Parts: sequence; C-alpha cells; structure tokens
Amino acid sequence: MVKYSILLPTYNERENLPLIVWLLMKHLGKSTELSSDGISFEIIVIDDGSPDGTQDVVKQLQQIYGSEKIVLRPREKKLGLGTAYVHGLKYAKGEFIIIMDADLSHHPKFILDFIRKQKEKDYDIVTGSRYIDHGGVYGWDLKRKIISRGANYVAQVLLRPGASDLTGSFRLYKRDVLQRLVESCISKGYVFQMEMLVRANRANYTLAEVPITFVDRVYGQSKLGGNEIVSYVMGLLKLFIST
Amino acid sequence: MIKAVEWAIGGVVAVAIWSGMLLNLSSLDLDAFEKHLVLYVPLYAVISFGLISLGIICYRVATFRDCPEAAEELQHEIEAAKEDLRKMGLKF
Ligand SMILES: Nc1nc2c(ncn2[C@@H]2O[C@H](COP(=O)(O)OP(=O)(O)O)[C@@H](O)[C@H]2O)c(=O)[nH]1
Ligand SMILES: [Mg+2]
Repeated sequence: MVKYSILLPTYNERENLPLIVWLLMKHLGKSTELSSDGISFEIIVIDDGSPDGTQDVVKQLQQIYGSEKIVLRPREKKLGLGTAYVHGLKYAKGEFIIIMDADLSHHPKFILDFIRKQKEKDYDIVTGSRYIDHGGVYGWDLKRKIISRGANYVAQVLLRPGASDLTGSFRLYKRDVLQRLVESCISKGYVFQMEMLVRANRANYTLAEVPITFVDRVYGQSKLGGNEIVSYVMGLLKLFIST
Repeated sequence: MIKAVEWAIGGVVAVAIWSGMLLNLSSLDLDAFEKHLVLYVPLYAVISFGLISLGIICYRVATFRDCPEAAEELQHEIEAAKEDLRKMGLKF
C-alpha cells in the first residue's frame, strides 16, 4: 500500500528530474521517527511532451528505481499545471497527495515536516509557506520581493483566505479533498494555487502551514511569465466576486 | 458570504453612519475641529489605511528572509546526486 503519492508535473525538466528524484529517495527513504524504513511513497511524473527528452530520463530512472516507484503518466502536449494535477490524480494510489515543482525550488526534506504536521491534528491540507517564521527565499531581488509581498498583501486583505502563502505550489492534500477542490477550480497559473486554498477555506477544510525555503531554479527556465501581474489581478478580482 | 458582498455591506454601513452624522451636524454640539473631523473622516480613513498598508508591506519586504544556507546545502546535494546517479548508470 502506497501512503503518499507525489505529483511532479514537468515540462522541460530533463536536468532537474533525476536530481529531485534522488533527493526524494534520500530524504523520504531514511529512517525517522515516522517510520524506521522510510515513508511509503510513489512518484508520478506528468510530463507534457517535453521536447528536451524529459521522458527519456524518466525511463532511465525507472530502470534504476523501478516503475512502481516512478510512474510516468505523460500527455501529448503542454496543457498547463492545473490539468496536470487532475491527470496525475487519476493514477495516484496514495491516501495523501503531495504536489511540488520539479525544478528544485521545493526541497523534498520539507515533506517530512508536512507529514508530521498533517498527523498532529489530522489536517486536510498542509501547505508550505515562504512567508512565515523560518520560511524564506533565495535568489530574489528587491523588486521581486516587493511584488511578491505586495500581491500577497492585497490578496490577504480582499480574500482573507486563512493561509499566508497563496501562490505557492508545495502542498500536501488528503486525496479526496484535492479531488473535490481541483474539480471546482477553474483558474490558471498562480491564481490556480490561490483558488485552491481560498475554496478550501470557504469549504471549511482544515489547513496548517509549514515554513519552507524556496530556492530559485538553477537549471532550465520558468514557464510562467509574460502578463503575470495582469492575470494575477484579474484572477484575484474574480475570486473576490465569486467566493 | 461572498467577500465582495461583505465589503459592499461594510461600505454601505460606513456611508450610512457618516451621512447620518453629516445630516445632524448642526444639531450636534461640536467645535470647529470636531466638525472638520466629521467632514473629512473618510479621507483620513483612506489615507491611514494606505499608510498602514505601505508600512506593513515595507516591513514584510525588509524581513523577508534570504536563505543562502539553503541554496548552499542544495548545491552540495546536487553534486552528490550527480555522482551517485552516474554510478547507477544514468546518462545525463
Ligand atoms: N506537465 C506540465 N508541467 C508544467 C507545465 N508548466 C509548468 N510545469 C511544471 O510545473 C513546475 C513549476 O513551473 P515553473 O515554470 O518552475 O513555474 P514557476 O516556478 O512559477 O516559475 C515545474 O516542475 C514545471 O516543469 C505544464 O504546462 N505542464
Ligand atoms: Mg519554478
């Protein structure tokens, strides 16, 4: 029985994927007070036909770690993050689902903190936060910090969502909670992550936060971009009038 | 309740209280300073909300923690991972 399913959406993460998988094995496989022989988990890679050969790397990793541990559920073309979770969820066997980026900005060691926190009060959702004590970022200049804090403040005031890090995408969900939330969320990009937590708050799911450090990606390129600020504001207003 | 509706109700209540005070301004026994306050209270409210918000954001930017130690630890782990994965036969 697999207890935790880790969803890794990838698009052109050929360099990062082996590293993140190795780190997951290292940190979740070690003996802790949670379990003497490591956490029971599977990794589900949802690759959207990356032209850089990410899937080729997945196959190599399956040879090393086994195709039970590393499951490849590819899609034809780049269809976005939100639907990638829906797709991965269909195949996930775990009781809990962990979502994280595959670009090494989310360090697997924090998953142990997520699991500990979840067990404390049987929370429905545990979310990583860069904004609380002991959280933080690396590689952000002043401008990015101002935009991040400003955008977050406006969302806090308007939506009162009961969570400090709305746009992060490093979280643990109970499986059925994620299923229900993901079906009711329609936004894209950063707003999708925000909508998930806002709807969770309105539905009275219980939520806890764990501090995480966010290290900007070393390899590859960020796929979000362009009119991020405009779409953030539009998405925020949509949530303001609908939740 | 939908947040926009909450805000709208709050706004209507605030405007009602303020206009009630304005309408009864002559019957309230106020000195010139108090009258000025009543007249301009929405403006002062908006200004102070803006200033407080600005203060909070500045404070949060200033205390936004940089974590070079996390980046450094990751870098070491990446090196170890590459070496180990190569040994296990992965072709990068
Ligand atoms: N399957 C899939 N993964 C995606 C897509 N867009 C981004 N990703 C992955 O989602 C994660 C976060 O994306 P990233 O570009 O780093 O976003 P940022 O950190 O917000 O700049 C990474 O693991 C990406 O490879 C997509 O359209 N499909
Ligand atoms: Mg990223």
